[in-house]
Amino acid sequence: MYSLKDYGRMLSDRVRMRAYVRALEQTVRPGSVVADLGAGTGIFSLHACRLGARHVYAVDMSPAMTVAAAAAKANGFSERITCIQADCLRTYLPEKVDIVIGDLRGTLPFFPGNLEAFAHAQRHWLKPGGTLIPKRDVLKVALVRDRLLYEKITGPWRHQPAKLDLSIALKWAVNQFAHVHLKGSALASAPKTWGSIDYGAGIQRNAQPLSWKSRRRTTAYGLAVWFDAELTATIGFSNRPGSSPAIYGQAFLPFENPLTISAGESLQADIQLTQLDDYLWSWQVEHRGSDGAVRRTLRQSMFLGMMLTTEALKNLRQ
Amino acid sequence: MRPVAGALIQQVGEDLALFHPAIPRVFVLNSVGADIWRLLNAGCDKPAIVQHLLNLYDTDPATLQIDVSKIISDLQVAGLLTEPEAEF
Repeated sequence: MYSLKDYGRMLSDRVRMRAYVRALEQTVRPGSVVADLGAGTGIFSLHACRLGARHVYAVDMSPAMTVAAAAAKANGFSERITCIQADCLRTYLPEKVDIVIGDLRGTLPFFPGNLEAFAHAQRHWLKPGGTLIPKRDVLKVALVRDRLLYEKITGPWRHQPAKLDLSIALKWAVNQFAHVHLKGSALASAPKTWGSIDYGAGIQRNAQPLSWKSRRRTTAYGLAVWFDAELTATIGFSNRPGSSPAIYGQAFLPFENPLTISAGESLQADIQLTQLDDYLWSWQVEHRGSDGAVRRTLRQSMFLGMMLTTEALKNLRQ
Repeated sequence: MRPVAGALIQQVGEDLALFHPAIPRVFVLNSVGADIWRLLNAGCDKPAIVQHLLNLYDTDPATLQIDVSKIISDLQVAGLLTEPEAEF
């Protein structure tokens, strides 16, 4: 559950807010009916009313709905905004809507409940031919050469304070997802498209592993994953490293060992996503020589980063 | 039957947690199941597994055979085992 401080941070994210408001400006018409999915403090609801929406249904299970209702009143929209504090997936609106707007992403769009909520809203709330905002997120992946970032993740476990060996923790540390804000210079390769989420149709993943051929010697410490958002056909924003910093940042999937690639050599990454209660990323990376022969293979997964206990296994057994 | 390529394991005490990125669940094996997994990984077939386990555990062959069949069947249903490819 987000705190009011978290909502404040989202509101202060100019990249995100500017794009979402422009998408509303492009789609809301006088008389439109709008659903604000995961409304939080209701900023999209207020903008929709300002733009002439006849009615807005703001839905969120968060106590922030109290703030949304108060903000609706303070802005003179209390007659036009219905705040519903409930689980989106169990909510059915009294009328169909023209537009569903929401942002239920985490660092990446694969955030528990995001896709399910949009699928529910599309099926039960949206008029045929209505508009979902966002329309699509495109997932991008690139190699990372940021040694200092890698050091932050692995260093504490490799150093030996008072000659005590904590290096056993590395096998978990290098299999965990890190939320980062990378500079453009942190990338060691051009981005490749992993796949996309069409909010009306689900996940489309490229079947082929991603591949990068190196033109000069470089060391890769992991993979950066981010998304480019298409809110409408013409309005969007990118979270690529080095872009105007948005709240989302990027995900960093570290390698268990840095991979130094010489000119002519290549790295191939097969990145898979599995949905359990949360989403788990798995990444198998092959370092190939200029002759195409596999030099090294890394098989990593957030599963291997889970600090499992006997108690946790009892729950998994059920 | 062989463990499917790409399966990942974590040993937790005597138990073994199994995960494959294409399968949306974590599979947990107790110590006997963990031994079976390791023996399957080593290329053993069902009779060889039963024989190995009889050397390890004080149990009757009939019960063990049923237990091994059940665990192999569960792993198979979960998609964690595959038929080895024919050589010709």
